[in-house]
Amino acid sequence: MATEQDIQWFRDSFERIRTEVRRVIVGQHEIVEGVLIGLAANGNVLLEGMPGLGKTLLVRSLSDALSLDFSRIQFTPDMMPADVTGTNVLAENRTFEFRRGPIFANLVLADEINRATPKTQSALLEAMQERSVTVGGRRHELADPFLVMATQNPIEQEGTYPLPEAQLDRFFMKLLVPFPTKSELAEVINRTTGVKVDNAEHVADAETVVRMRAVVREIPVAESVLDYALNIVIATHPDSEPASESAKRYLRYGASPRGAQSIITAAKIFAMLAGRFHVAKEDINAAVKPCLRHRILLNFEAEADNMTPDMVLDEVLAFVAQQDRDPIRV
Amino acid sequence: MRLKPFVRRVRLVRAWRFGWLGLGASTLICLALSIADLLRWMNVEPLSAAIFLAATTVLSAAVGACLPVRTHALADSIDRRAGLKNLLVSSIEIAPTDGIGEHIHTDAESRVSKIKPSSIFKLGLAKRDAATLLVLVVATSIFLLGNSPILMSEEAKRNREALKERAALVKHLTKVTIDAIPKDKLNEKDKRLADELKKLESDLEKAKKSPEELAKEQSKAADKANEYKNDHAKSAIDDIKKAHSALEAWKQKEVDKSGPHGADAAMAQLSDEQRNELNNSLNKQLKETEKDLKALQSKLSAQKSKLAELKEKLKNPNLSAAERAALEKQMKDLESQIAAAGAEQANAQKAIGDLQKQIASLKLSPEALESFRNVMNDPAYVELQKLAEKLAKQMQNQQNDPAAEPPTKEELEEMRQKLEELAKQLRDPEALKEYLDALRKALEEGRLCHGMGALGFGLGGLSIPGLPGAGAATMDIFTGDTGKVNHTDKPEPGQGTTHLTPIRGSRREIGPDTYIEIKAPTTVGNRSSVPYRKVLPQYKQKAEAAMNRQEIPKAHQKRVKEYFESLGK
Repeated sequence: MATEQDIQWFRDSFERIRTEVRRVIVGQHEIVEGVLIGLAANGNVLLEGMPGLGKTLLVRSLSDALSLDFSRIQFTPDMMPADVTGTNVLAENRTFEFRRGPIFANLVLADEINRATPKTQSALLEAMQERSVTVGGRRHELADPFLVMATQNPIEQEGTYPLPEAQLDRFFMKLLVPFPTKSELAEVINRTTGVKVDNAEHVADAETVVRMRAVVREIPVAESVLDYALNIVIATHPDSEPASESAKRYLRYGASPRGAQSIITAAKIFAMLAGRFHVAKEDINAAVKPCLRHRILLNFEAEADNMTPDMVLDEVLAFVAQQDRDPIRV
Repeated sequence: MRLKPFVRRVRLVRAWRFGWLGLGASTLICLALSIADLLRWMNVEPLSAAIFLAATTVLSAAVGACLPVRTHALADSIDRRAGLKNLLVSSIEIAPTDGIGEHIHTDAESRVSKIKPSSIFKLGLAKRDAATLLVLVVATSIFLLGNSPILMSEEAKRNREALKERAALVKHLTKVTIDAIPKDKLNEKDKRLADELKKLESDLEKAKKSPEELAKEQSKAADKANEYKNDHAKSAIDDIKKAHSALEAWKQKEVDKSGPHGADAAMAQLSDEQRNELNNSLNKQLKETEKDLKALQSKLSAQKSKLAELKEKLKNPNLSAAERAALEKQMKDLESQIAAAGAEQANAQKAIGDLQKQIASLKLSPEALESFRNVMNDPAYVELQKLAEKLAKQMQNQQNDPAAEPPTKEELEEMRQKLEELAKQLRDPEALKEYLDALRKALEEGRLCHGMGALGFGLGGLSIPGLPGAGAATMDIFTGDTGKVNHTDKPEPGQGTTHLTPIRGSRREIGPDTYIEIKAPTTVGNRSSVPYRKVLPQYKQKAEAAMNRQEIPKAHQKRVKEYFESLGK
């Protein structure tokens, strides 16, 4: 049973890790925070952004700060599932021996995941979901804690295999990595072209991450707040009665139940980071876009109108907020 | 959690808001009413409008204050208004079973205790409230504009003033007629008429309706007053008849109680002398009748013997046919004579029986005689009977002739006094209760008849400025204005008790026997066709008699005199 001290410990730990990562990563505060929230929520994160924005450095810094194993998989079209999960090789004693793939690490960076074939993608995503791989009839448990950070390039779509919706749904969050500002870029250049390159110090460990995940689950959510979150999820379904106008117009499919789970979990962490012991609706609002933007499917009209998932979600939030009025109107 | 102060505050704020809403709605209605009032489509009472506004506002505020305030909704609202970020709602929904739950509760209580209810549920004027005030000001302005003489022409102002004077007259008329009668004595129709008169007075006072409409209303009220006058007259007659029947029944009861069975009550009312005289007369009649009866009996027996002889003669077989026919004819004649004599004999016997009964009824017990004499010889009773007869006659006249003079108040009062005097003097007033009650009722009906008659006459004689009528503008409710009387004194309504005498007919203007066609509604609703010269002397005499009896105030006597003189010129 979590106590006030546990919450305070969570905040301190989170802040310590974040500070340490920020010492290395310039800018990208929301991305850093999103990745840490994914870590604390035991969810995998999909990063979408241009190459060279520090995604690898982020994961590496995180592993340094947490003293966790880190591996990076650069996906290519010719990559096979065994290249991710590992394979059985014939040993000198003429027995098959399982050789672990790069997925056997605490933090995995799946770079440009959309360049791999669906077969390889599924192998990774299955591992993400099950937290284990099965090779040659034997099941191999993955490390704990385990976090996959997949990246995809939004521009070069030729020769790529976009992730199907069912697989996208397995990512806890989708974070959009923005291009750094001029000052941030200057800082990046200064740091990376100089003699001394900072590395993150070890400030936490796997046990810390596991405990943080346990504390997150202890945070209670009021019925009305949960109801508000569910209203948002339902409002994204174009065929449901309480759907928003924008959902009816621009969406083919709405968010899945995993989306609601992700929102609530993320909102709990947002609440704790804000120093609260209860989840507020503003926490829900903060969690909606990262948790749902990859879970809703735009239709042709949305693309024709240059609508993005974030724009539709903004309208959905406005619609739900409009219905969620002060019950005492005086 | 202590949310009661917030509940009270929410109720107060709701009452405030709902009050404004109610005021806003009623103000819009009042705006429409004030426009209708300005355009003379309807007459709006300012007091009624103010009461409507106040009542709607208070009622709306009460509804707002009584609406339920649910704890969850209140907590949610406080969260939003005080920026507590769902803390209160969470503290309500999450049980304080663990460390975090307890902390949430503690935190919520701490935060709530620092919030003043008035700081988050504020009383203030919204834009729509300001708009409501603006509309209220506009409505009031329109109403005042419609009721002030600013927009009126000079003629309209004069008419309005004149109508106000008429309103004062109607008020006075109502005061001296219907209002002078205790409310419990009035029936429903009379009460409705009183209400209509008040409305007429108000309409005249406001001068909102057209003269035609006002004249119509006035005529309608006058017609009703006359109609009710007849009703009351009929009721009075019925009551007098009832009183008479009750008295007769009582007399018969007294006779049956004290005298021989079947005795006539009328006999008991006779004096000793009359009784002796009547007794002698009856005995004389009895003897004569007995004598006649004996003569009849002897005549009858002679005729019967003669008939027997004729029958013997007819038995002779030697009689010729002619002789036989002659005898048979004689016999038939004789038989018819015998039958007639028999009938006479029976009548004589009956007459004897009646006479004997009358003689017996004269021999009533001394107590019965005493009882009768106490009542019948009472001067109050005798006077009362005379007054009752007069009242009945007057009521009858009222029904038959609308111009007939109704009983005066003084006559009615005199009769009432006699009645009460008799009631006090009676040895057994309970025995005559029905009689006394019926007479009292008849008196009340007489009073109502008097009031309605005076009212009908007064209303009928009242003119509406701007319309041809019974007379032009005047403050004198007894007479119309001929235009030939100089008004030197200030008009003022008559004071004290007055006796209204209707004077009807057509006004003579130039030359003999002229007629005026009254197009406006009149008291009776029909054009008069009575030649003026026929009715003038009669009413002139009545006016003079009234002056002689000091029934017309001295201040008005000169005017009345001048009026009738001017009519005769």
